[in-house]
Amino acid sequence: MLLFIVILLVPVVAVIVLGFSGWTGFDLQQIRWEGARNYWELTKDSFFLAAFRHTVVLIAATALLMNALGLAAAMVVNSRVRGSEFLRIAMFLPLGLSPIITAVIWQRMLGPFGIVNEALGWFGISPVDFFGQPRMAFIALIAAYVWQYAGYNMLLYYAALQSLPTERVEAAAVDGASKWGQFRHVVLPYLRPVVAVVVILNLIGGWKIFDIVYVLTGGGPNRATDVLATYLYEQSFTFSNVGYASAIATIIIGLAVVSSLTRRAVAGSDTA
Amino acid sequence: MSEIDRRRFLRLTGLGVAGMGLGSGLGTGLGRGVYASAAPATGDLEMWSWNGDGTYPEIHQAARAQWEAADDANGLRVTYTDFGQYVTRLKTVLAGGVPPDLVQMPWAGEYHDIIDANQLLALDDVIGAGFPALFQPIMDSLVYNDKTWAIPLDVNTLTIGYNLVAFEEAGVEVPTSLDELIAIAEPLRAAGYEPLGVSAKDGWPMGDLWFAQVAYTDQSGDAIRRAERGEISWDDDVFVAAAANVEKMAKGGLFAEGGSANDTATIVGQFATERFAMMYPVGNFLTGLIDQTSGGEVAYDLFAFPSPDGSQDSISTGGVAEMFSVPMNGENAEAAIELMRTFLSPEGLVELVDRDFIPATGDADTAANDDPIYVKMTSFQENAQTRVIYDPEVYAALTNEMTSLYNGDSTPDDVVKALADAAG
Repeated sequence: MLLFIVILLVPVVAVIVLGFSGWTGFDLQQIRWEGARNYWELTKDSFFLAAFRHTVVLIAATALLMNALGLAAAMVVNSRVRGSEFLRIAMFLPLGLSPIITAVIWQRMLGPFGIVNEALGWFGISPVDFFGQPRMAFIALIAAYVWQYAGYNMLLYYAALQSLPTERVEAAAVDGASKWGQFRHVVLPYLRPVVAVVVILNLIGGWKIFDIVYVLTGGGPNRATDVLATYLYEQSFTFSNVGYASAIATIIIGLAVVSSLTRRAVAGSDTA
Repeated sequence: MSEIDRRRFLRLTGLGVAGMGLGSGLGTGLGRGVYASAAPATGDLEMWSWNGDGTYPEIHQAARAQWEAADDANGLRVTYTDFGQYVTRLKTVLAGGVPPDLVQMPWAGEYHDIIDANQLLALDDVIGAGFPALFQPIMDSLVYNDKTWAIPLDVNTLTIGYNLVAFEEAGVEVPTSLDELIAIAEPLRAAGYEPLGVSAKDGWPMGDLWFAQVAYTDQSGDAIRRAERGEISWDDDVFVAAAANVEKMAKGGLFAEGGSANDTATIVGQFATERFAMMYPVGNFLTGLIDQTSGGEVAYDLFAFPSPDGSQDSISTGGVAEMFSVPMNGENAEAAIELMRTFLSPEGLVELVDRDFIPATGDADTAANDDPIYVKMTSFQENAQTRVIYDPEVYAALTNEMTSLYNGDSTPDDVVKALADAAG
């Protein structure tokens, strides 16, 4: 218990308290009490609001894609058709990589002289500036993130599919339901609580996304891929605005806590 | 008297300070002895730097060998951290109160931040003691709150490197105006070369593109300092005009394939393999890497961005390349200063010149290095203009917005508006 308090609770409380201060991060005696000023400034900070918007879009896009891909892959793996074992391993392998490594791999692939642009050149297509154009940089970020974590969703869905009563699917088939009909009217309703939990787990992970963004795009070009955590990092370590950064951190903690409570509520309602 | 007793005695009587004065009079060699006896290191000295690539480590190792060869010197440990992480780690150890003894110091906003946080020792009293005469404009640029907090090891100039063969094949000459510079892009492409690669992804070269133009648009030479003091606005015409020059280059098709996704490693690689005809910025920190990457096969020379209308002599940007500070809470402050003296000793200056670095003092015999590239770099130093904004938020706004301008997503007015907004 003491260990929990020292390692987890104290830093979290300290961050929340610092969120109401002005501090450069060097000398504790220089901490100034600012009240809610940091939070008021955040409401007017266009870079923060943009970072918040990017985070929401990133979470929404990656959650959608990871769930679609993860569920589709889980269905294929569960069907045990030829090649499903390969798919399972291929989806699972990126999970074993550090996000930093993932970012470096994608940076190399999509870089100006990377394999993707080389391949485009074979077809006479002009090189694409994946990390120079805001929209392309964001797409590259989503692609790298989904590539890394879709396997996680696949595992969760695959585990859930193991307990799917096969007689329900068979009964639907006997009643003449197509494959799509079986999926839509039998499998998906059965997986609904799992989908809800997986989506919320993706949300919790998404609010604090940092490493892959920091290495792949650095939040650029010109903040086009800045997310909450990269903006927090810049405020804290580049600008020495630790109080302001702590206010951002508190917001991230709040969002993660709300997501976590939602997950518990969803899980609770499904077991009740 | 035992070593510990002597240290205690010297501290009590303030003879350490007297030792500094003695060191000043006796010069580098004896000055070192005075410091060593005044406050010997309490263990190996620890030095931090981000310059772990290229030939800087050779300079550090040469100083280390010289340092450790001294009778009473302790060892020296040099820790390298990639620049992307360096400032974060440095601020963390400074805040933690357990800093290294000697730290390479960024010359932009972090320098002022760290001074404001009362984390560095003022070095005014020691700069005159046992150090060569350092370039005054450079020393002036390091003064903050009326004190000097860092000692420069060397200075650099940032210019455009160009491939001699590519220029010959394309039938173009070194440009003397901005229009000429833009005009050579087409024949270079026709000859099979991408024109000018810029390491835009690293961020700071985007700022330097702008600084290179401010050198021409600001006839006073101190508009940036006046803007920082609030005497003129960041949306002043001289700053708009500088951004407009860069926009003209971008729209004129001067910049190479890869755009703002190119980093230093990429442009050096493309320049060394003769795919890019020009690269920017080239400083002495990169010449060794170009030679290493190309195996010395690429014949190249340098030129500074020409003046917009060709009426002025070319001006390069430049400033401190590597400078060091002594943390307030370091255990071996005086020994760390002695190490700096070793770096800037006559032997240290020879090591710098031999490796194409330009020492921050006129006492160095730069003529001893007759490599044409080095000779060119030292000649650019004569009229080099500073390239620094000390407010980190304004500087970040500059690099970010210039990246957008470079990509065609922003205008010169957007650039200066971003600067003004960041300055608050």
